[in-house]
Amino acid sequence: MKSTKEARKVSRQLFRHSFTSGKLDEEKISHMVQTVLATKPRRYVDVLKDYQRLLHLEAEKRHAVIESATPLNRSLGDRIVANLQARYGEDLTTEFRTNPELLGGLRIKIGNDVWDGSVRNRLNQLQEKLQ
Amino acid sequence: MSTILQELEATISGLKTDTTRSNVGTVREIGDGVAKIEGLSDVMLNEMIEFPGGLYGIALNLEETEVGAIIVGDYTEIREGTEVRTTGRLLSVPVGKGLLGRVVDALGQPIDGKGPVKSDETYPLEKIAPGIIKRKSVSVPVQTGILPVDAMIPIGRGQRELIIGDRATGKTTIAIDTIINQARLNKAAEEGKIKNHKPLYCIYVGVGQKNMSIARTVDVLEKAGALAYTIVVSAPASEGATNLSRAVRRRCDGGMVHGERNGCADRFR
Repeated sequence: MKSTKEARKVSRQLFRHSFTSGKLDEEKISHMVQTVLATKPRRYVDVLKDYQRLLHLEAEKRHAVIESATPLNRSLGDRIVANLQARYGEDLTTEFRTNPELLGGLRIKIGNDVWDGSVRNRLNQLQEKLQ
Repeated sequence: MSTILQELEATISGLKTDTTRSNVGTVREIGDGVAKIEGLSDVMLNEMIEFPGGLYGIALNLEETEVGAIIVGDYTEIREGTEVRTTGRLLSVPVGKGLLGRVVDALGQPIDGKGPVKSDETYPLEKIAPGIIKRKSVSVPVQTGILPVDAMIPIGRGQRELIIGDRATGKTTIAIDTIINQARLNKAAEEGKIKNHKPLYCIYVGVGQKNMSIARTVDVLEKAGALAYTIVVSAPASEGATNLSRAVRRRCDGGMVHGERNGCADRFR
């Protein structure tokens, strides 16, 4: 069911208090969830669901998904991770995925930003230009 | 032959592709042509959002974690979880005299089978209309060609006039007759029979009408030789609510460009 306006407001308040020096604080989050579960305020399930969604979106900002057409070898993978961590900070988590549809090259997604250097994307660009 | 080869070589060498950076989001909810999209942190208000399959949406409601967008076109193929991306472009439509004599849809795409619209100029769909100070006051009459109207309730260029009446009492007929009369006057002015006459171009917008009614109107205009001075915007009842509302906007934009160029932004509103 869709969360109510009131539940979204409470979950946003919880979310704002989940940070310590700009980063998600697991201790704070767990404490707040325990408190909500213990006190069971009105529509607490909706509140927790929306809170989870916000946390998930925030966590995605610090998570990189690296897609390639074929599995990458270890040294190349390590180099990519090192470069990304140098740019985005050491706490960036990474995940490698294989997607044959890319045909070649890499596609890196961090949060809402996507760097697409795949052959599929280049072919699409060419198609757009030639139309 | 060598020239063609050189041209081809030049085109191919000009084609360069690069790694692109884009801002993406995921459809969370979709219904009635309105989508709630999670992500799209860099989206602008009224920016075009690209959906898979060449569909576009317009970002209208920007919230903290999600964006509300209306979809232009057939939204039935879009599913929850579909990835969308920003384009960096505001929704714009082709404008200018190239549209005269054409039948277009709410986004300015031709639907009359006469090939692409010859217009290099585009205009943003959502734009604040010029204020009252910028507008020229009403000074030139519009001759509807209907004697009782011209004699008793004359209307002027730049004026808004509402025609109210029961169904099948001839509201559209009055509008069509006026359009035909403008074409007649424009032609007479072109032949030098009327002096100091600025041509008046008309835009007919069929919102929520049957395709048949629009086709009949186009036929009447064509037979009367008025289509060359008219733009027909068609948003039939079968289109989504999005396109119907866009059609009204589209009419205003088409007119505004003519008007602004003539130094009187109110002319065609």
